[in-house]
Amino acid sequence: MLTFAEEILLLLLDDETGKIEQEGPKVLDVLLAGAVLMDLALRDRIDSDLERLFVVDHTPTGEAMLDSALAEINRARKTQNAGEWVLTLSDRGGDFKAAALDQLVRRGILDVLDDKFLWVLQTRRYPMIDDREEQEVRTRILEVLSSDTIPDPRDVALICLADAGAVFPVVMSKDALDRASGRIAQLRKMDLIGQAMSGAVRQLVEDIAIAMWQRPF
Amino acid sequence: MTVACNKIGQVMVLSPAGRLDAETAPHLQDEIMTHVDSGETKVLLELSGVDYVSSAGLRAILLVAKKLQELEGRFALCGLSEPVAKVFQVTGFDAILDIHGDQDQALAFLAG
Repeated sequence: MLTFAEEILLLLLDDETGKIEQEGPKVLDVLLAGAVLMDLALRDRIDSDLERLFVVDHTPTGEAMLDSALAEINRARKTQNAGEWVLTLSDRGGDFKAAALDQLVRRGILDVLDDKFLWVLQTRRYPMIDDREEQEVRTRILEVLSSDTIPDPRDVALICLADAGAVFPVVMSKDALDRASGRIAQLRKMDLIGQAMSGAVRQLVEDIAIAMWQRPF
Repeated sequence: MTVACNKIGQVMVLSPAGRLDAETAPHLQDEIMTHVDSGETKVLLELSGVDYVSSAGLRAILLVAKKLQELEGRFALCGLSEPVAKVFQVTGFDAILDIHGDQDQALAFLAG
């Protein structure tokens, strides 16, 4: 099973360019921090409530990316809530991204290509080799959004991530998105870590918009 | 956590007492699923004895509700204490689950 970080990266990957498009690097960092926490929660390593997030089982999961985050939460002397942990772990967003992409390459889902100009590394791209996982993730999300059945906690978490990552306008028509907007709003509330991550992303996007507005022409 | 079970008419009423968190949620979930697997299709979770629910507790409730929906059974909750009701409200669980003020209302709903 893919981690949430791998799933959201697959959804954010531009299939034509092999690059990950986001409004800003920090937005991706927050998304990946939320993804890591959601995985730890669904693997019964952490629990949370309205005031705090805490370790309930420090047994490693076997996923290095998750276990490093679990160790950090376990070591912390100060109690933090889900939102604070999303921001704390977002400082390691670059590491989470690299680990998740490496894992997708190892699984044979992505390839890795380095583009060079005058022998200097310019950019790294990740062309899709096998799109079955991405299609499965998209199908799962769209099925949950098009029904009114009670969702699985894993699908709730993925929809929180996809919503915060602005994936829906890319994978759905405007009409379909309009029809699903109520359902998305309902589902993104259902996970406390997802709520915290969405709030942090919203704040970042607002900050970016204000900074752009204030930038001299 | 203790879970009292009581069959009222066609409804299996489960009344947990204590905290519903990562430690206790699997026990409650197993208890409900045991009844569902043995054929119970109408389940009421009476939560007046629960004063705390965490994310893990919410997930257990969601999985039980989903299972009963898939089996075309019925699931309801009642007796939520103020802190528990707040968690349900903040997470929107109150919008997707059938929640009733007291047991009589919930039993009437499940009988209908």
